[in-house]
Amino acid sequence: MAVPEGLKDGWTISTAIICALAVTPVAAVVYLALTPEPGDDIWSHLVSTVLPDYIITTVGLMIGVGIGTVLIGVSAAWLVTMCRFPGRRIFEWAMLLPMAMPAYVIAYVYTDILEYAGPVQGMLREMFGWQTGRDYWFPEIRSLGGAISMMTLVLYPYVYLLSRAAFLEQSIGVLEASRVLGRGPWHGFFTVALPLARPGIVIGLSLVLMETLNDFGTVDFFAVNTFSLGIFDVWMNMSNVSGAAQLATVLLLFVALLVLSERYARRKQRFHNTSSKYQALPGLRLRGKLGLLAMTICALPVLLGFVLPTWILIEYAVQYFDPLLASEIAGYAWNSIKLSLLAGGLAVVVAIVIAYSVRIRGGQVLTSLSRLASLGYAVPGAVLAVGVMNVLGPLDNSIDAYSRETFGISTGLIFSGTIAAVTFGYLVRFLALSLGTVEAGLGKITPNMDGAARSLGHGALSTMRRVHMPLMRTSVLTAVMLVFVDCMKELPMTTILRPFNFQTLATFVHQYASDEQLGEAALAALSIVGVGILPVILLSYAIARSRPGHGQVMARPRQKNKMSKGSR
Amino acid sequence: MDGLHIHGVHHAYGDTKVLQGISLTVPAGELVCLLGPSGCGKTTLLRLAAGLERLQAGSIAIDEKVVAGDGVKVLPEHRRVGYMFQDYALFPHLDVTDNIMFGLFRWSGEEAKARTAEVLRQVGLEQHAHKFPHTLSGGQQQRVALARAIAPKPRLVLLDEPFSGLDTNMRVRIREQTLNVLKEAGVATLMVTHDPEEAMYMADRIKGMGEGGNVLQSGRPTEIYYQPVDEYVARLFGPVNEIVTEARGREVKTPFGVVPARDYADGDRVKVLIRPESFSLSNAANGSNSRRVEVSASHLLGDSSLVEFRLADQLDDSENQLFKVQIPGNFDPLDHTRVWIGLAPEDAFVFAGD
Amino acid sequence: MVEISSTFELKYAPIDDDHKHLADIVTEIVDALDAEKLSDSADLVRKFVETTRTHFQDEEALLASHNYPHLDKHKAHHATLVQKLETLQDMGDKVVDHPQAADSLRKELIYFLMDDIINEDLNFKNFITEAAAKD
Repeated sequence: MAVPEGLKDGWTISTAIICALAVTPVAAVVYLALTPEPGDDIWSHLVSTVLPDYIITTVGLMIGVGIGTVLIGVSAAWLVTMCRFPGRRIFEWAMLLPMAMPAYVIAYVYTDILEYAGPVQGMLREMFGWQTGRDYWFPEIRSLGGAISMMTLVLYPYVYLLSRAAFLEQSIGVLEASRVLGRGPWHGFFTVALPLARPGIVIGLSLVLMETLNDFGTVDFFAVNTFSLGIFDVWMNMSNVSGAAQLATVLLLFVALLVLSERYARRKQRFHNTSSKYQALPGLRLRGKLGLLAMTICALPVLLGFVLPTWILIEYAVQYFDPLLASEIAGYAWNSIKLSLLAGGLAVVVAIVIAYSVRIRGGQVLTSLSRLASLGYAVPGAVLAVGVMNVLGPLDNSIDAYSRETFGISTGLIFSGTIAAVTFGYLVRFLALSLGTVEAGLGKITPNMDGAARSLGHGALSTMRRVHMPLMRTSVLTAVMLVFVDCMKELPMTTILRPFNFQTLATFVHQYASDEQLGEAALAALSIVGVGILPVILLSYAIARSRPGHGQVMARPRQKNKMSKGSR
Repeated sequence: MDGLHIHGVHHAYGDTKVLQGISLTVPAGELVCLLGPSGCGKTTLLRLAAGLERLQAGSIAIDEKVVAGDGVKVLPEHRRVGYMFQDYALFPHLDVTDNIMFGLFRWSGEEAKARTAEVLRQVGLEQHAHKFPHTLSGGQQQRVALARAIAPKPRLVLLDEPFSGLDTNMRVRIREQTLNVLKEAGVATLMVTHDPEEAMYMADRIKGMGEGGNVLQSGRPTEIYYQPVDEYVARLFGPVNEIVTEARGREVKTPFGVVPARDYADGDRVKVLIRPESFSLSNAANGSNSRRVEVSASHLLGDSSLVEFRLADQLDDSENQLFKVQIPGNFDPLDHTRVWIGLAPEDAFVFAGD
Repeated sequence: MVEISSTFELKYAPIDDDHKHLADIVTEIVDALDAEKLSDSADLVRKFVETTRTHFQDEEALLASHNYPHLDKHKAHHATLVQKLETLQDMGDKVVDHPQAADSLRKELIYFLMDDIINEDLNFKNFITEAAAKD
């Protein structure tokens, strides 16, 4: 191994510390929930008032988004992998475009055009001569249904990606056998392909629902009372930390369920994959009306989830362009970039430490620790925010007290309300992204390559420099990029944990859009979408490379399609 | 004496003992082969010799200098050992030339280039000097790995199942070439394999290893093949015919004649093992030990045939056992209606029965 | 020239001297083979075989006198080597008529001495040096 032996225990210790740090926020939330301050214990109050509403709304949102994303994702994946129709090649990657769009951004855009004062209703009134809202019925966008639609439009790509991979991995022989046995292709879809792809679909769905639970921007804007919003409400407006923690703990139960179903499906998936190579697919040719239908099914989500909102944002950005505002936005963008780069860099450093300790020390304990450390990806930002605040606050206080006692100097708040707090939150949430990518990269350097370098006369450092660094470069850059992008989009934790008066692109967009000033926020929103495009390009490239006849690029299950998981 | 000297090496992973008291000597210019089943710790021994694994007990010396044991631990990069890994472990980001040059970083530019050209020629890969590993075939990758291992003129070469990744045709060719390259280099070589044919072709001395990671027998290929010390070693060289019976008068009676059994008393249960290739087939009775047999099946294996037979007229009431014989060329049972089988007594091995 | 380098020494003079003596005979055989004095080499092999037998007996007696716990195992090992000695003698005799066998004889003698005899004797290195220190 490429590391001096004396450092070996250092690796284990660092990993243990990192893991402990990664778990503290969640642990703090659960601790707070279980040991409420006597005066703060509003659990019974919550149960009798808002809790049922939170549960019903959250479950309703999950069901709606779940059904919507599965319908769109699975049918698009099936069409794109198994059928031939005009534009299929483009849709293969274009279906991913909405991933670049944070749910809150699309929510602002559609609200702007669909609300009473918006252009659509205005046009309808003009066309039909209606005078007021009482003259006609129009769906209220700021509603549970609206939230479901918005999230469905931007989250379906997770289901699409994983079910597409599942369809591709199926042995085509199985499908052909079904056809040879006299069954039509549609029968094959429901009796063979779909059941085989189920684990993949479940993984995609779990990721979608984790994102749904994580969402803050949309539900806040639409005033849809989900848990995330409830946590904020109880914490910020009622100033009741214990109550917020209790709500967060209930939300964590939902999350645990999702993590379990995801893990279970991944285990099943490994079992289901009979062939590791993509095979040439049959290509059921769809002509005429059927071809047009297929095109529409694929085009609609892309148009509504990406093209239309982007176009509207561009319109607004141009229309409302103002050099002063632009330079202000540039400042926020710089804040976002600084923060995201810091988090991205740290996340990769931490991931490297963990990945190398698992490699060097091995063993069940370290592997489990690394799994535990990367569980943050499933924890909603609101919950992490409560946790981070309540870990760092007391820490600051005790440091301050100690310092005053010993040195007579007040240190004030070192962590909470500073960039450190936001970065810590980002790290906990996005460590899984960097760890998965770094581990996948490191997996390509076999231990024997270290052995070869060493026996060819190169010391540990030289082996690091001449073998590991060149081979890890791409993975490390990818990992930085993935975390960077998700931090740029992150809203709930940034809103709460950022320093006073510290504005990022995301918080700026949220603030302005909430004040019905989408025009002013358009440029900033567009920047976020622009950054969000980066991982989509990367995924598209991987998809193009993994077409039949090419090697599979994104083979590692832990990394697989968790890319670009971020806050919406 | 120059070369590798390993003494009394024990190694365990947790509670699993993989090496138990291994000692061996590989003089410079010689090739010693550890032959044993997968998972008997052979690779661990190579890793210990290279310094990639921490020595737990024993000592390892290369060219009379202790490199591990007795409180000494020379780092792998200072041992001057060429290691060819089973998966070759070529560096994917370097082309063939740079892979080979990797170990020549202390050489002057001119010398390193000349040496690289020399080893490339030795392994016959001059035309592929600037290709990347993933574009090469398995056999070419194997030869790059060999070239890379010997390029820095190591004092010791370690080969881990060097031909296991190759198909049969290629294996024979590459094996020959590898042996030539190693003999030309005149370096001490320790090789591990589970393939008896490979071991016998390559080795000056074979060490047959048991599952417990201990050496059961050492000797020249002929010695260990023709005079195995126990049943396990005999079976390292492939499937054998087995007859379970009793010793009588320092002898064992078999359907194929009497076999000496000096070490066994009357009534001792013994196992007689006969290699399929030890039998001879003929169309006529040939001496008193010749027995007529009924051929039940024949499988052409290419340059030889595996013939299954039963005894034609059973002498005792034991079950009519199915035997296997391997003979050169094709054997068509239709051409041989009456077949006799013979066995030289020294080709039957007698060991204690269960 | 066959030498007993330090990694092969038990640091116990009586045994090391025996080994050196055997190595000297092997050197003589190798020299004779190189000079193509083949009948000389056959005689020398006989001398080697006899000296080895004596060495085994002396060594077993020595170990027995110190109550070496693994004596039985070592004796069994000697027994298999005694069988090998016969093979060696055969090889030595054959060389007279078949000079092309010289190379395998040379190799086998070296392996026999270094690998089979000395490497196995090293197993009681610690035991014998400690036992000698007590005396």
